[in-house]
Amino acid sequence: MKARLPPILSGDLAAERDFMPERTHKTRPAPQRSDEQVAETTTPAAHGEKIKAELDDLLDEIDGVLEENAEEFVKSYVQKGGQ
Amino acid sequence: MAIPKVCGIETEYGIVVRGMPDASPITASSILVNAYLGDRVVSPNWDFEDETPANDARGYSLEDAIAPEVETHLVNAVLTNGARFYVDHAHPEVSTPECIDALELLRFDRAGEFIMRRAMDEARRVTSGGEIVVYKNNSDGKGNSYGCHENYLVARQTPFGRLASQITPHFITRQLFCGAGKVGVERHAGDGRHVDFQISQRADFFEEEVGLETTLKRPIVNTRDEPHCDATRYRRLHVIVGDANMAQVSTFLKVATTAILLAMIEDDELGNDLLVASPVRDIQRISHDPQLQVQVSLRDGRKLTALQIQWELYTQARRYQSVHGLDCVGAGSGELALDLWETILTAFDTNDRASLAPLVDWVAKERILNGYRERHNLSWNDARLRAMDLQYHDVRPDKSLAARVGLRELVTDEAATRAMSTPPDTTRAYFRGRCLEKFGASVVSANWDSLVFDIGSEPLRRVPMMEPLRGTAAHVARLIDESTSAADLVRRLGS
Repeated sequence: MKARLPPILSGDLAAERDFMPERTHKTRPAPQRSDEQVAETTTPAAHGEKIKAELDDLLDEIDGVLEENAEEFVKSYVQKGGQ
Repeated sequence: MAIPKVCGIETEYGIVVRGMPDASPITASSILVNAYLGDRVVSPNWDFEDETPANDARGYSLEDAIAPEVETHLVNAVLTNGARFYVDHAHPEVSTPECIDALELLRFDRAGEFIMRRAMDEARRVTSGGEIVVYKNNSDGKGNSYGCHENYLVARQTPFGRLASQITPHFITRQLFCGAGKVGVERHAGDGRHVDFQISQRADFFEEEVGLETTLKRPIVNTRDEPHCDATRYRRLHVIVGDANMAQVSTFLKVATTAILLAMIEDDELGNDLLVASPVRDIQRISHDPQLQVQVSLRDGRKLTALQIQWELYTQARRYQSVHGLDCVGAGSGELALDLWETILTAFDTNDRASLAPLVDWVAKERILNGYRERHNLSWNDARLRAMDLQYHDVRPDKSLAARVGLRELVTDEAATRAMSTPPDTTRAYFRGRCLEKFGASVVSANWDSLVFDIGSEPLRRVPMMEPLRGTAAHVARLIDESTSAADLVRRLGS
């Protein structure tokens, strides 16, 4: 899924350095914050449905590549001697 | 003025031989690295002359500290992109070449994944039996951890004690955007909380605030003082507290924000007002709390959440940028980092997980785990969730879950592919890589700060590279292009 893109650099960098050319520059003022906990945003129903549908598609795809014997896979994944 | 934040990443990959749980990881790692090397032009020898991993940045040795051992008998090669590809302990490891900024480093970190992919493909061709598979993660879920270490060039004159205390608030809270996520808890859950899913892979393994070790009693700030360059001018800050990341934004921000804050510390612009009272306890409390509610006690008596500490650091970094600019971390990288940093903290403020998932590993992982758990009505103890946790980090494109969750890319695959064999232009890695590419047969050994040439009848010639920002394309491209042999190159360097 595509999320909204953060405001980032434009132009030269992408051209010169092969970074993804999908950026526009925008300066925002430092955010005003209160110390109160910000309430969880309520998502409009349609938006929520879309997110759920995307996740469902993703989970279907993941189902198709998951290791077959999860228990054995997890059990045998042992890594010793690391920093 | 802060010095340029030359940086690099060393990643130890987890390794298994599928179907052969008793296979030696050391043998498997050696097969993997050798399979990649094949007949590629590389320097097969690492020059250990200047390795001093037991030196302590605080200037003294702890009596009971166990100096890390350097293993010299295992496979150890330098590649034409200036990287080191080797077997470290029981893991295959890629150390990127030295890079000038976080975007460049991201390109070489991604190239490291591609090198591992190709190594697995080559190993499959030359071996029979179980398939060798590597994972870019930091924990086996059974109490064993392996590292992804970052390195930053810092000025020797910056007092180490101040540097260690002032960077610590970032080291315990930056996991908000660069934690890789983990099912369950390992070792001591110091806070006694029940943990289904946590933010960081590594946080459970830290037991000290400051220290020399990397395998036991791991410290949040590692004091290894082995600069691999002019020790009178520089330190290399060896950062062991981070997770290996699949998300490019996580990798990029991990390095870029740390580089900015280190520059601020060099310029004495960060201050002491965010010093944390109990960093070891709190790095774990923060990791164990994906809802971001935990409050951290500061030494001045305030209590802030990790998110609030990150906002403070971000705000100070913005202020620093407006006064000093960000040339020392690469202006482009620095600007991009501040914008992404702000975007991510803002999204956490509104708990907008959907927009965070393409940017931050642990949020991406949490999203698929929660989705799968709800779909199949699983408890957090279910092996299928732990398997997904591991498989998120599988480096094979046909198996990797990280490759499927829509992570945002900052570098193209083409650029990363080129970085598998071509060095960065802007550091001494250029000289290392180009010399190997053009005169590889005459390079007897190599390491970070020197190359040793065999130029025929004369004694071996060691070319020191004690300045990380000399030996760049601007300095030596023409010299290397015009040299007809290693002997010619050495003669021109000497004249």
